[in-house]
Amino acid sequence: MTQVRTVSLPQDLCAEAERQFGSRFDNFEALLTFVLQEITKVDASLLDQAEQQIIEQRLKDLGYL
Amino acid sequence: MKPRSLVLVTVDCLRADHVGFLGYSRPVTPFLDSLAAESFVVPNAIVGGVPTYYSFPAILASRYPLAMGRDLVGLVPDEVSLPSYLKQSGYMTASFVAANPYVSRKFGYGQAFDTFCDFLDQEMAAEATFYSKQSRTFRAVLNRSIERLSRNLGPVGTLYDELYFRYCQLAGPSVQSLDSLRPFPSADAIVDRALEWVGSVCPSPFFLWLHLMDPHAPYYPAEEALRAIGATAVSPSRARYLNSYWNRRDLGSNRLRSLRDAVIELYDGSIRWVDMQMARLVDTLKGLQVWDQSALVFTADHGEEFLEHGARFHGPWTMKEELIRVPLLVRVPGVFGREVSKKPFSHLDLAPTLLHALDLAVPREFQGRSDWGEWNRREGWERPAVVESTECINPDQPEDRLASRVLCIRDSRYKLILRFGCGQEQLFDLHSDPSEMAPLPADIEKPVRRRLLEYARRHIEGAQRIDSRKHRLRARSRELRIVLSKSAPAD
Repeated sequence: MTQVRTVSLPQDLCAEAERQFGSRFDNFEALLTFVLQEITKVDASLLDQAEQQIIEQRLKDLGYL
Repeated sequence: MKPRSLVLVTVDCLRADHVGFLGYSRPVTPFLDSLAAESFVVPNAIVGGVPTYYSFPAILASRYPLAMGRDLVGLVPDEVSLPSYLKQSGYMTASFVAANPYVSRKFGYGQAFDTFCDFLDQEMAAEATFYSKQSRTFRAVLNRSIERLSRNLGPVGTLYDELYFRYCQLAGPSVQSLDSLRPFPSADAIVDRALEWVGSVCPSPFFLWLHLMDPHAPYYPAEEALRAIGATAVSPSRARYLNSYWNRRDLGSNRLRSLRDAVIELYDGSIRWVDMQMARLVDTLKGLQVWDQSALVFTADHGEEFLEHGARFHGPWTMKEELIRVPLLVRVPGVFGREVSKKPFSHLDLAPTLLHALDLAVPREFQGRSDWGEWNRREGWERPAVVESTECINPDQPEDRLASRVLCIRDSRYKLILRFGCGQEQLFDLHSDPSEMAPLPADIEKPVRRRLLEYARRHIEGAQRIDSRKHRLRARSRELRIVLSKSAPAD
């Protein structure tokens, strides 16, 4: 099983989030897990780095780096 | 006299070489041509990205489209933009967008406008119902099954495509007018709403942004506009046929080319309709006594391809001139306009230049710079325009946005296009090859190639230095909110 971590959040914020979106999830932890998964699953900066390396390689091939 | 108000008109899919003031011979823009005589005309205005969703961050927020990460499309929550800055400076702000979902509230374009109307609720609801009903009929399901089967039978698949296309033309519902075929609100409807709003706010200073969709495919111009350009009369069913044929994915460019001129005539008719509505807009502003205190900007988010390089419409990967070069006309009261330098002028610099013309400071968040001084002194500038996109053609889901970058560095003479996904690198000499038909061999113009490659490298490096984490989190939260309020997540 994945290890878990306990966090402390403002009670009223949790209540409001549950009120707005809670009915779609089994419990509040599932809602929070979904939100965190969604905001962390994309890392576009890796693509920028890879493309920069392609240009640098091209400049090297041309004898400029 | 500094203008008190600003009117920005953007037109979807309008290429620079299809307006009279930049040399087009067909009479599509007589009103704008007359306005050009008292305006700054930018002969080489270059968009920040193609298509719409990669173009508008440069126009409205003076920001490269991938600068905050390519998973982020549109304006981010609370981003400093032309409308937000003008609103903060005391302007009333309004936008009327002809139902383009990529410049809707969902992508952050509603923020900073006192009035924002994207015409999407009624339009999209009607369209969604229509397609959802169509896709569930017995005939639709049967057709899809036969199509799948025919794909496995070699030449039979081609025959099926042809027969099915002809069947659709015969079996489609009869149409009474070109107007009934148009999927977007036309320019007259947008201008009507905009003028109503101007009437309600003047004499306060205002910023008004209109986005017109008339030249966007499918091309269904007003009949009056077709007559005005002397086009062949076209029945609604013929126009539908032309558009359906032009949209076929199963045909090569040789067969499509047979109808190219007829399709372009429809496209040009749509441009003429825009021109007629621009005339009406300006006439009414004059009647409201605000024209003499208002600057007007007319431009496009990108151009359109008509098989010049084998493609149609406006995909994000070719970066050819017909896509990245757009009309740009800026009329400022009290300033005698003129044609500005032929150097490429990036849309990134448009908002700073306009703020300068309005005698306002340029926000430090803007990546572009003002060329207002150069325009007035008839001087040029020495920096290339950068156009960037990815090969993503449906940016609705963040995962789909993680496509390979397409980057174009264009200076006065040379143009480098990099397609990272397929490793393609093309360098064109626009002086000797303005149609971009033959990229230069790799061993020719090496110093030029080096200079533009280094510019490309610095551009990508610069994007990585921007700390956009807070903005990205806000933007993702906005999208997440939409996801959460629509459907249950997958377990």
